Amino acid sequence: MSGNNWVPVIAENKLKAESSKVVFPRGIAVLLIRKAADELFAVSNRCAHMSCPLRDGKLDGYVLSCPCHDWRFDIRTGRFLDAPEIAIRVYETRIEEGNVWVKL
Amino acid sequence: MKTVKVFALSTCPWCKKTKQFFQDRKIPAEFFDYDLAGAREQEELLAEMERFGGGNSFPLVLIGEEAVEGYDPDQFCDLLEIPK
Amino acid sequence: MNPAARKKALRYFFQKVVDPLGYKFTPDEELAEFCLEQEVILERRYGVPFCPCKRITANRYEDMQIVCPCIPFHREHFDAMKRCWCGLFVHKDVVDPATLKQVSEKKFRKG
Repeated sequence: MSGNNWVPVIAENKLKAESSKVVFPRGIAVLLIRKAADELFAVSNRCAHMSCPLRDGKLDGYVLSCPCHDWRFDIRTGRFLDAPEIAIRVYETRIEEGNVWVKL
Repeated sequence: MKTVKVFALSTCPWCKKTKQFFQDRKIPAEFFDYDLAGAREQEELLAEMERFGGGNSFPLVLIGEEAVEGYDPDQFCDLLEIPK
Repeated sequence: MNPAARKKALRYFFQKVVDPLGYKFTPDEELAEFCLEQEVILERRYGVPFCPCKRITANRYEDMQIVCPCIPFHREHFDAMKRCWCGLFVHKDVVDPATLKQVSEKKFRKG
C-alpha cells in the first residue's frame, strides 16, 4: 500500500453489503458504509452539528440523517444538504489484501 | 386605547423586551406565556395566534386588530398612535 | 452536566457550525448568555436545544428546523435580518446588534 496514511481497518469479509461499522483508525471514529460489494464509503462518525454519532442514523440512498436532529449528509461528498458550507469529513477507501483500508 | 395582547414564551428574550415596552409606558396589555400554559389553554392561544397569521415565532403582539410578529417598538408606537 | 459547563459546550459546538455560514455569536453578551441558558433548560426538558423564541410543535420535521443553530433552515430570512430570530447569532460584520430589527418571515417573504 503506497503512502503511510492508508490504514487497514477491518477484514473485508466482516463488512457485508448493506451494512455499516464504526472503526477507529489511529483513534479517529470513522463510519464505514458498504452499500454493495463494490460500493464502500467512509465518513466521520461525528455529526457536524453537535458531534452525535452518525452510526445510528438513517440511510436513504446516499443521504445519511443524524439520529439526534436529522441533519442530512451526502455520504459520497460529506456535504450537509441544508448548507453547502458545512460538511462531515469523508475518507478514501480501498479493498486490498482482504482488508478494507481507509486513507486518513 | 386599542387592546393589546402579547403572546410570549418564558424562554424568549424579545418577549421580555416586548412586555417591558408596554409596562414602561403603562399601556394596559394582556400577557400570555404559551410555554407555561396548560394543554387546553395552549390550544386556544395557538388558535388565536394562527387567526392572525402567526403561531410559530414569538413574540406575537396584537394591537387592536393588527398583529406584529417580533419585537418592533416603532411599529408598536405606530399602531398605538403614540410618539416613538 | 452543570448548566455553566453545558453552556460552554453549546458555544463550542455552535461556533463551528455558524462560522462557515458567515455568522458569529452576538456581541451582546447578556443576550447571548440568556439565550444559551434557555437552550440548556430546553435541552434538559426536551433533550434538544431548541430556539428559545420558537414554538415546539411535536411534529418532528418541523421541530428539527428550530434546533439551534437553525440558520441553515431559515437562511434567506436570517440573512436579510443579519441575525437569527432569537438574536444569538449575527452576521460577522455586525458591530452593534441593537441596530438590527426582527422582521417576521411573512413580511420578509412579501418583501
